[in-house]
Amino acid sequence: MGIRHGRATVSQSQELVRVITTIGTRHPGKDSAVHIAEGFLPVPHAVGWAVAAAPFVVHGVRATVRQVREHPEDRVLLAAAGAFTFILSALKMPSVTGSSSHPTGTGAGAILFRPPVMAFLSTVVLLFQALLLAHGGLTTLGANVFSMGIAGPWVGYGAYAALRRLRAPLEVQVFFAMALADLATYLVTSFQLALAYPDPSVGAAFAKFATIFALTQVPLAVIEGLVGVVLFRVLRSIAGPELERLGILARPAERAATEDGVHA
Amino acid sequence: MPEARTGAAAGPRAWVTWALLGLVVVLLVATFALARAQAPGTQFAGSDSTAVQVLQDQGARPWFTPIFQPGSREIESGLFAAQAALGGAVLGWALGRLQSRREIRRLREQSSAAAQQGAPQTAPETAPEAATGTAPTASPDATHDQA
Repeated sequence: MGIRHGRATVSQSQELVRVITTIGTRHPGKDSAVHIAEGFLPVPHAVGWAVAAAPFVVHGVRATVRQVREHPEDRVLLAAAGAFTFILSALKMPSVTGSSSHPTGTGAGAILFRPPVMAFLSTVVLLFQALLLAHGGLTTLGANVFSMGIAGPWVGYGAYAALRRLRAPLEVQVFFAMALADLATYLVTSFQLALAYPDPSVGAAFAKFATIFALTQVPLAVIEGLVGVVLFRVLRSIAGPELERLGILARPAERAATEDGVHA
Repeated sequence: MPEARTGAAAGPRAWVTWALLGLVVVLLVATFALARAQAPGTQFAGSDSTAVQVLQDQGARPWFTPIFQPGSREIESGLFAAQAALGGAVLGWALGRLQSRREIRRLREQSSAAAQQGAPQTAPETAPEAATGTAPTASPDATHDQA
């Protein structure tokens, strides 16, 4: 599987462009993994990330079951959040760096149902891709769940909560939550790879992988943020009471009270 | 869409949503064009596979291979499309369900309001509240809110 290249003196950026442009033709079917590919994390790292992610996933399963049991009417919105992640993580989009990547869509569910639920839903998506699409992998599932299902949603939720406290409009909250959840996912992936392959150092390796992942991801994160805003606009018009109950929209009485406070 | 205004939020305007979708398309086309302009003939390989490539160039070899491998790029693309289609079907179902819930809520509110307006003598104290619809609190606030 290794690729030997003849021109060892070309600069790294030229090398990257060459790799990007030849990979599709020379190795069809090999560029199959989103996040970290199957078998590419050393065993201690694979085990370590799996152990780190496991409690979050277990907590996420329990949070999801509790949510459904206490509010059966939320099943529809839960399905929408899961489906949104399912769609977005299947869409590979071209980016300015000349490579392609896909969004994660985890920010929406993190806003609607808080991040633990997304740890569970992301695990389902990543398992589906690992088993049926040879995408990601079982040995790297722990690491990929940690980046996409835990780090991303928590960063997105943090941005949402902070902007909410600053009384930013819902659209702004959603945009940054979605975009930052997406970016955080790929930054954590870069960090995981840098830890596993610290060549020459973790910092330098992180910069190298972050260049590959994160730069490609920036325009896609912006697009994901906009798509998220569209989703929440649609939800606001058809599921207002549901969003009120989840605390995302202020209830009419609360809104009136805040407006009175502002006018007073 | 007057019913959009009766919801909890003063409903978002449809044209803004469509404009945002248009912006998404424009951004997608722009990124594609920009990348092609920078590196003509670029094939848009996955950034993950670029990372794999860098690892392999460093001498890294996978110690485990996927249990199931799609036979070709075409089959792989098909499976990705299937994933998106599955997600799309569920999302469509969920949004349809939420929309029908809203319709039911609206009809219920209309019929109860009509019933109370039709017989104001029998329940005079509940009539003003019913007229304001969703906001049972002080009516000046409610009208201000919906304006």
